[in-house]
Amino acid sequence: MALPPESSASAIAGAIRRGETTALAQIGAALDRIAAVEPKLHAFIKVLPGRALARARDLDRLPASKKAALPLLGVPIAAKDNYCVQGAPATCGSKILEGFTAPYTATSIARLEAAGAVIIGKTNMDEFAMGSSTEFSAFGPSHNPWDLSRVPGGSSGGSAAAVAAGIAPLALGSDTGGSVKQPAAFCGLYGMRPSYGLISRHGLIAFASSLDTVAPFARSLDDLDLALATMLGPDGYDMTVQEYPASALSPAISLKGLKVGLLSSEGAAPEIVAALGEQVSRLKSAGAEIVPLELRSVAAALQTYYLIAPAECSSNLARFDGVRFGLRRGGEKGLESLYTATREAGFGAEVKRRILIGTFALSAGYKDAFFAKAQQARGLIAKEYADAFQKVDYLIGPTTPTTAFKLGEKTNDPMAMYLNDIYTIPSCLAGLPGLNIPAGMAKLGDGTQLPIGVQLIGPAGSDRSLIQFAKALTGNAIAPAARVAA
Amino acid sequence: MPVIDIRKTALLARLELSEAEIAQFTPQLEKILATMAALSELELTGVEPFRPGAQQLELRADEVKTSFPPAGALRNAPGKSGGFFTVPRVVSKKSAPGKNEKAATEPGAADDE
Repeated sequence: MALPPESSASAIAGAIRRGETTALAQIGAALDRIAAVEPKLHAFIKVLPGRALARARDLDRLPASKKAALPLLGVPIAAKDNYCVQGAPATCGSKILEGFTAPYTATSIARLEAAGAVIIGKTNMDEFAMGSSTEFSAFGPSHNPWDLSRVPGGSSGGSAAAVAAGIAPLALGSDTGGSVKQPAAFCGLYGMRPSYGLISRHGLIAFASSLDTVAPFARSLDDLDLALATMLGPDGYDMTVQEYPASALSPAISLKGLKVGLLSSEGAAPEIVAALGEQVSRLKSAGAEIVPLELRSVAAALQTYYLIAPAECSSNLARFDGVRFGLRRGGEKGLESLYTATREAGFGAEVKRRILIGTFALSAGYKDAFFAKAQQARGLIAKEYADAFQKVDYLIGPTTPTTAFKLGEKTNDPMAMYLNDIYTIPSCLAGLPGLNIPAGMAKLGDGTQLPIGVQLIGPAGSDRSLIQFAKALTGNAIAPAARVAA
Repeated sequence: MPVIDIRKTALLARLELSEAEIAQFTPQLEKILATMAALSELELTGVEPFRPGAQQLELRADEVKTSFPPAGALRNAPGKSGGFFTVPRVVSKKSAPGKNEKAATEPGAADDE
């Protein structure tokens, strides 16, 4: 008897180990849920039923002794379409990778599968992870399961929608400037951006190499912790991965006596401010000390990010040139025309804008004024956070300025779209772990309820204890799945 | 505040923008770049740039390991031949004198920069 697909990862794995259900039944249940809600949601670019069912059968054939060692046995997991899964397409939400089949599997995914998990599909995303709503996908937007007329956030909107709709307990996104934290807030999920260097980026198609992180969504902190523990650590392919001493399981944290820095919520909508206030009250009642903090350099964080990330992307996306993989156009007038025609046809508007900004910021005569300055500003921001963590144990603040906005509301104004990330970007620049926790619902006039998120930030390498802090604050609450409107 | 030369930047980025795109992107990019003025308000003298992940540069042991198989690398190739990726002609033909002189002297025809 299959457990409902919105069950937790540990519940599913445990039930399979005890023989109460099978991996095949659980993967089947997830695929059934996809069939039921996907026409409304568009969470996936490609569902992988053949691969998933074959793996499920393989898992069911294992002897009990082998099954016992698999903490994610039979757990369905969705992965953003910028992850390489060998033999499956990886489009990065772009036309330029049409026809591309990944020749290898990303480390993070290989480790999850080695622990028994089953990838059920590749999820929708803003093209090359550039966006905050999933509306810049070349394959159409995804919809927020709580209100289908609204965005699930971005760029990892498809993964967020999949978990929020109860299709799978875990999904991988990638967080560069908030692309997991922000959709987690919009969809009522736990979404964690780990410390830069915790998890290998091998097999995660690069956007901005000094900012990209492998970042999971879950509705349970235990599931989130399990995913992180399974994926983290060096793999010999990503030289930026380090062994953080605090990566081992962290003990439970008591809120009493904890020092928590309160970040500014200037610019946030009233319901966001209220939800944050509620979390702060909870901390105070439990005996934590709240220290209001003003990080002045954070005022320039958006500009710093929107110079550094585009600069890095202009370099990383130079490889999409029609030569070795993906789309190929032009070439009648020689190699040069192959590059330009392929890139013109293959990239969407937002990607082109960012490539242009990045190229400009790095170009001769402007590199010192723009890119070099932004790197220094980044140094200032990192230092302010380091100084803050001399005074406090963790930070708390808003994740987003508003709840999920309507589809089409911000697509005409790039700056308005960028402003969605004002609270997520600063700590990303400093390489710090950040975790969105669901913090209540905003009630709209028409009866709709929209999730509100709050962000917890820790020092570099504190990921596992940050999760313990979240458990203490939320009482280890399970985030409910949304019932997708018929 | 310097103004972005979109055509020149597009050339550097190997993007062949349409006139409509140039018209649409120019004000959008100018608006974004105008906000960058906030960076000049920061006191940045002597501040070290921050590059996460740069601190550990340990070389691995010099052990021979297998590398990615060429067949796998060629699998997604839009054009391939004999273990190579194929692309439009890059080098103009400069064969027997008199035969291809015209092709050799055509400016920029098939030569890459």
